[in-house]
Amino acid sequence: MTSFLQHVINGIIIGGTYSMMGVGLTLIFGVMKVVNFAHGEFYMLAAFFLFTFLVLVGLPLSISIGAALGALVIVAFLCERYLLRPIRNLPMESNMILMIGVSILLQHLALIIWGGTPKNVPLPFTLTSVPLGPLVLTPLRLAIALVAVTSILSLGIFLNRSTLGKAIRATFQDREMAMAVGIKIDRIYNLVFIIGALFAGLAGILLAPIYVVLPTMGILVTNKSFAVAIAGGLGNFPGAIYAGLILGVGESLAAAYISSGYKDAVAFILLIVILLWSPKWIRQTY
Amino acid sequence: MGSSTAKLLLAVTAVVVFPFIVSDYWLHIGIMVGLWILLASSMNLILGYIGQTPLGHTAFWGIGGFAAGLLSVKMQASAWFSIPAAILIAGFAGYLIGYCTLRLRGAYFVLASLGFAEVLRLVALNWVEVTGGPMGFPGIPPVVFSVPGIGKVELTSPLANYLLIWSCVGITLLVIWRIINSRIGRALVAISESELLAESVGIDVYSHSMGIVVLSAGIAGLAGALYAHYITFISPDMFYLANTITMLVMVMVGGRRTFGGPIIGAVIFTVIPELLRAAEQFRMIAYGITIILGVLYFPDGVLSMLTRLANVLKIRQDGGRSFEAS
Repeated sequence: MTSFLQHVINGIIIGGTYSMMGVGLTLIFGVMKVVNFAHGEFYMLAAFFLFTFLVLVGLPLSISIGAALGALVIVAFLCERYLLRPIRNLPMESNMILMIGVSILLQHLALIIWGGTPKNVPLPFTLTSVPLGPLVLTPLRLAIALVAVTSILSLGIFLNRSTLGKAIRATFQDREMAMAVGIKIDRIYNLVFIIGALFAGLAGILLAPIYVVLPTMGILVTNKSFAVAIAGGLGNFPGAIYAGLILGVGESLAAAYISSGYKDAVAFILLIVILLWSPKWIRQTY
Repeated sequence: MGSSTAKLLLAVTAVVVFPFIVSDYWLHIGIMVGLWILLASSMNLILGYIGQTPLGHTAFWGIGGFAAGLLSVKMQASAWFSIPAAILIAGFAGYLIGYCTLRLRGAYFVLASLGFAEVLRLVALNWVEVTGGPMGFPGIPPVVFSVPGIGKVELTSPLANYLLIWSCVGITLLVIWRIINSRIGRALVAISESELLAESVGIDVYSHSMGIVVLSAGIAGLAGALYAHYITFISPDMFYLANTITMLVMVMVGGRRTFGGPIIGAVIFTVIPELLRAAEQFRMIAYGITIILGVLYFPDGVLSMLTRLANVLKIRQDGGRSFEAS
């Protein structure tokens, strides 16, 4: 029973990062109608940027994280401004294929720049585990949970309370009307794409010290983010959060009780079950 | 004799003469061109004619390969059974994917097909007793003909495989040609232009799309089965996303929703990587850039753009005389 609870807790924590990625993807899709196939590559790039600043350059951790996120913002900005903006009025399938191209390009550029050997991102400090009744939590995992909750909550507050957030929600609901009342769509799109990419990047930075960093690690992440965003209904924020947590727990339990080889299949099985079931929230959001 | 008949005759002659004048190495490339034509053309049916992006298309090629391989090794089925069975199984898989996703379409279709290919890749990697896992699955027998009077003829030589595979390519292309130039083909174009409009003039969008997905999956399954019997070895690599990307590049560069586009794309992107073996690591980068530029600047395919450019140049050179003549 204790080990079961331990798996559930670990699953919820990893699930928190899935929720972050799903929320980023769902935001980009909901507002921009862009299917961001490079989502996992933003995750991968952030982890490699962190590796570069922390290990290769030797900056302190907090500055490295800031610099890695800053570099990711530049990539996301360029991607939106010069690739997505020119084809905004074409059908969705165009931006989807474009982002597939971007994803392949980023993946193999990373392979040439950083090489294909797995990289470790060591943390410059060690912390002892925190006992929680019969369960054990490492401080790293607690930090992941904390960042996931804070970032998602602050996005929610930003969207609901600030004027800019209101403008984003207006664009989400009706692009033409938003333009008609004087919202600068170009800026909103740019901002939304950067926020979405940042959520993927933050997840990459959080998970980099737990897993190894590889140029190809984004593929699976893209797929899982999509499974989360779809299971929750594309453009549906609470849905993405729940689906991310469910996926995390599902994977953790599958790895523990079935086989770790099939852990990564949980996302797709969830996806296929949801599509077959086709609940109301999926049909509404498309 | 029309110019299209002449072109067709020329192409058929080239395909028939080719294996007798080249080395075994180029014969192998000729065979792979045939298989990629099947794959690219089948993807084009979905990408070009119903306007969906099948990002898990390589799943059907893998299903065809594994179905044919497993049937002929574990059940000693002859190729006359294993190849049609592979087509049917791949087609049925296409039906399942279509059933899950065609009602939702758009992003859902892409992701479900991608997820489907990934699940199969994981199964092929992890179900070691049946699929051989990452080591692959060797020992698939070649296709055997029994000819009365001569006895059994095993298609082990590359030449025999070339002729078999290109006959299948010929038949498949004929089927595709007949379909896209029929009432169904025009209905499909209407669907990919606007589903709502197509539905409003009485086209059954769902059953047309489903038919095309099943056909396309069956063709990819055929390619997989032929490949398995030719190479005699299959591995989970068949389920890798990179295969789908290669098909996508072939179709995008050759030109979506054209009959000849995927064929030309398949020839170009099978032969060029062979010539550029040294630059292997830059191949995927070139693919990525090709896809991006294709979407941004050449939505009709790079080739149609180039021919248009060539026409403009020709008109400039002779002061527009050839343009007036045609």
